[in-house]
Amino acid sequence: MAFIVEILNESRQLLLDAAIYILFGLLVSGFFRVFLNPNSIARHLGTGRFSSVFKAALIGVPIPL
Amino acid sequence: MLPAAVSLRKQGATKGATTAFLISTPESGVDSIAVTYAMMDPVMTVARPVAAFFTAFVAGIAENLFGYRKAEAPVAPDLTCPVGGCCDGVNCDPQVHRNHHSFHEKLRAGIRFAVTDLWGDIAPWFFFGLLLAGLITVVIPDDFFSRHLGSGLPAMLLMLAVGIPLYICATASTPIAAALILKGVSPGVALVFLLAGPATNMASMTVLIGTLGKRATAIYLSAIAVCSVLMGWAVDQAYAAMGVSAKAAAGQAAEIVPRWLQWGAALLIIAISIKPTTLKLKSLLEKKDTVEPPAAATLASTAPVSPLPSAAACSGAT
Repeated sequence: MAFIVEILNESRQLLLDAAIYILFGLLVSGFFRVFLNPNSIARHLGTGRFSSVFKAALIGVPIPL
Repeated sequence: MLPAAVSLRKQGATKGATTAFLISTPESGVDSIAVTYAMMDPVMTVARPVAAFFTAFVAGIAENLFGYRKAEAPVAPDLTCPVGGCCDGVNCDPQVHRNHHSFHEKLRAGIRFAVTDLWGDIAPWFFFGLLLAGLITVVIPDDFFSRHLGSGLPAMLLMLAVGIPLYICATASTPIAAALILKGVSPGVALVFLLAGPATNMASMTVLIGTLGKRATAIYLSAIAVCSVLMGWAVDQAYAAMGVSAKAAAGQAAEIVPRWLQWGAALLIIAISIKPTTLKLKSLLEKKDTVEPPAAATLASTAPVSPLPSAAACSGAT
């Protein structure tokens, strides 16, 4: 029992550390989606052997999953 | 992630671009960058997106070098309205649609998307990651990894072997990597896990073979394996050169946040996690009867050609 409490304590500490940063990341991602409309990114990915790859790799970095 | 890949291909993106997007999107995102800053340290916060970009770029270029055809299908971008679904991008001009929604409406739609779609997919896995991190912290002795397999090529290959078949999203893998580092795993080895874990899994391989073909999938996997190890090695060198200890620097970003704010944010996270987590647990229990979780199926049908990974993104089911 003490063992489980210890694990939960560690998990809680990690959650406290990260919570505000998670909220921030989620908000930015949400605004990304609405204001930049990533739905239209495909238009940039059709041409070019190298440039299409460069753009796709770069666009994917901030977009969350 | 996979619906996104299929739709990108259908919309006419090159194989290389599809591959690159398919790697950098799961390996890195605004949310996982923020979480990395909170749980790990500034060096890792920069290293993760840079490594994701590098891996994606190399894999995409390799793909286009071997299998590029100039006359790909014309690109037909999906312009569906992200706010209210009032327009599918064909029946209304983007210039006209621009005035359909107020700033306030867009803000609300953005928050709704973040909380329900995005966090809804991540939450169950994130709590799983938190518990696993807690377990690692309690069970594994502090000097365990400094004595066994904490750094070097064999440890990185082990991380590849664990990370490639496993599917855990970038945000949820962060607490696990942070716990490993605290037990003496080198930051480079942890990075290999952070790159290979989210980018691939067993289920996605079959879909990839269907969408991109066998050779392209082989290139995709090899690029991830080689680049992850390369970036892991580079990160270890960078830490050594800067004289930074990843173990000592972990989680310092959280210390500047006042206690009340930490608790407020944590309670808010828990509040928005209850629904998706219980749904996920339910669907896991009922999985024997249904092939696809119902939540993922509905999401996928509402956004069939969206390249933005929304449906089943972090569920690992597809």
